[in-house]
Amino acid sequence: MVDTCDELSRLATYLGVSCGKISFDGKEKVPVLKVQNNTNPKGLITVAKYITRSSKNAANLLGATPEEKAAIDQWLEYRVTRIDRSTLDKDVTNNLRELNQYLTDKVYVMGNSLTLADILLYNGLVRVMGSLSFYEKESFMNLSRWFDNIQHQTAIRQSLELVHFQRNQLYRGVRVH
Amino acid sequence: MGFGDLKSRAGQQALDTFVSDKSYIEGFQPSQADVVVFSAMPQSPAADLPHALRWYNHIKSYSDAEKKGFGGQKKDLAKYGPAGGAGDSKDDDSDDDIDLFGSDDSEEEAEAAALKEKRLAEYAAKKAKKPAVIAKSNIVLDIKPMDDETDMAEVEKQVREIKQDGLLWGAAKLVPVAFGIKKLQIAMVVEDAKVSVDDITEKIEADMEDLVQSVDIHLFQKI
Repeated sequence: MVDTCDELSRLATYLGVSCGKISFDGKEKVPVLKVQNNTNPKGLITVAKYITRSSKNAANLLGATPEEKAAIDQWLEYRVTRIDRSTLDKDVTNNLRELNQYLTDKVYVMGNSLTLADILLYNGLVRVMGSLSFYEKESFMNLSRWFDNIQHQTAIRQSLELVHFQRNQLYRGVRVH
Repeated sequence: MGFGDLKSRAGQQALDTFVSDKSYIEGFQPSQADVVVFSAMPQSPAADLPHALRWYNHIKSYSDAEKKGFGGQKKDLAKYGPAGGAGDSKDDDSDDDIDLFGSDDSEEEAEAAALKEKRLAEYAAKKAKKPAVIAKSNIVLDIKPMDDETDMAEVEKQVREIKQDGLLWGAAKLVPVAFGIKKLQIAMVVEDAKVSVDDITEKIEADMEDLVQSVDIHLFQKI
């Protein structure tokens, strides 16, 4: 899928490394990165982490302690197993609700600093967020706040369109999820 | 305007509402704005102000050294918050600030207004010259006599006696109803503004009580 390729090359650009050649394998179009010694990392998460590790600017994108690393991994898996695989409206809404609830007391997915989890979740949600009405975005207030913050990091968003958020006085009685 | 007194509950509530959809006081990364507002907080917000609490804990997670390194200029506390600082932020991509229909040049505006007035006056003058079309209606009344011995010619004569400005009687004819009784069908043209049909029918029924049993409208057409 072109989207995945773009996403990985955006990540590489953000990290200041070159992306390398990505091909797609199998019916599910799993991305595969061509690497010199033929190990060829396969799968969105694997390739994303490989690219991150090969960059010197990665800072703490992958977490410092084992607990942090595990938590980030969990969110990366969430991206692939839940967000990418949810097609039914009710599943999508469930995901949004869950994330909204989770982000109540966090500025970034991991709390106080940006990690790969933020980047991959942002990329995975761009399409969904773009399709929501202003009312729906306001009802997922925390999620929208987090999303707006990430998308304004131009180094992450790069050529993607901004999703617009707007509060509306008419929505006084908006049901907050 | 700002948040008001951040030591008070009201001020903290204002902060809570303000940061509910923002990660930082200004823009999308920590800045001196956050430092200023943070220093004004006496302690951490209450647990029932979740957004304020989230923001507070986030800023608290930065060391003093890091806080010194945030960008931006320190401004008066009152400049931050609703209708204060962040509302004027240029980072905002929304179109709220642009008045789509406003005119930039007030001179232009005055000219345009004068032109509009002139045009309106012209239109009114044109309208006044044209003779107004008077609304008229063509009505046919069915006048039923008391019995079959009533003199219909007399009835017709008396009906035609009814004169009014805007009322014009037309042709009349006798139409047999039953048992030798004939009703008088008489046409009239009235100007809607001047003559009320109800008045006419009532007049006929009242004045000619002995002769006329009832009056109905057979036909009512607008001309």
